[in-house]
Amino acid sequence: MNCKDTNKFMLQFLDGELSAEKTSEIKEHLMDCSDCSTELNKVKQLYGLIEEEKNEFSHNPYLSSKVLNRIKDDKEQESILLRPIRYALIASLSTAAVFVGIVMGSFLSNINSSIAQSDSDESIELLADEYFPTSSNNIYDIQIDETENNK
Amino acid sequence: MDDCILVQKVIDDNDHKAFAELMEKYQRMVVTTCRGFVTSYHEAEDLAQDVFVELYESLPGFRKESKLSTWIYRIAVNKSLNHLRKKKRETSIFNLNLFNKGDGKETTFQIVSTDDTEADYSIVSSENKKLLKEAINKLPENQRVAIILSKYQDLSYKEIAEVMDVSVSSVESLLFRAKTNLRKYLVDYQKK
Ligand SMILES: [Zn+2]
Repeated sequence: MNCKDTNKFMLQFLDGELSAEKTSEIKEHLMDCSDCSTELNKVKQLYGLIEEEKNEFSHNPYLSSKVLNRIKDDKEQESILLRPIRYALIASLSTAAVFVGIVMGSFLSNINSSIAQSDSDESIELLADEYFPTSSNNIYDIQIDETENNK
Repeated sequence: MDDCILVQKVIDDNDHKAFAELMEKYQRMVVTTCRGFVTSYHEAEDLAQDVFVELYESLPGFRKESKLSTWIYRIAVNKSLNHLRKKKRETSIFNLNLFNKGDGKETTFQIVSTDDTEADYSIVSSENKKLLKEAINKLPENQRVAIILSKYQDLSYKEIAEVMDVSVSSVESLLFRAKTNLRKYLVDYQKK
């Protein structure tokens, strides 16, 4: 085993994931090579901090109630703020659509007015959907940026 | 109480007590997972709140044939990744606007020895943690997710595969590459 491979597989070595053969080869190399064993100690020190971060957890007794408050707040905001806006928007869109309908109707006198009406209804729905998209269904799949090197 | 019963209570009766019970049960799991991605414990706790709000909203869509923990892990991973992406965008805009001196230098870190007194330890350790996190965050996202679920949650290859929706063998190769790269980044930072 040389320095290059010893370094390359250092974390796998620390996690005990290499074959018995490779492991003993690395151990042997580390006994002879002070550079690699110094390197190993440094890497071990940093890598070992993961364990420390894992153990930082301390139970927060207020976390649940904070979340519940946010859930309630969201609900209230939805009813106090969003709904009137939603209705106002739809109302103003309908007004606009009716206006367009009237104008169009007056110009295109031979178009059946009921068709024009159903057309504008559709466009209201489309517009309203754009402003308040029905929640996208893919948010619970993990969305991973596949690029190998995102420097 | 069984997860399924609690979930049903939340969906059917909007039972906040049942949801609180779920949060108590999964608090450690969520906070520690988020901790793997972010620089401070405080940030991880804030993210955990977002995760639970989203969990609450998403429960009606939860398919009961899968494990609730898998579902929660996915939300936690997505929330963390999105949080970091947003932060990265903000930082790059900030840097572009204010500090664009064009020397392209990255922040340098110095590995700090822990041989000093006990009192210095927390400073030393927090500097080194920053260094570790820089290195972890340099990993491509899929390698990062795999190594965080493995090292911060001790999940098996199979469990990681379920969360990430990939095969067990891809998890194996992701973890191998993650470790090889992480070792490299850790050493690179030390040399600066
Ligand atoms: Zn060597």
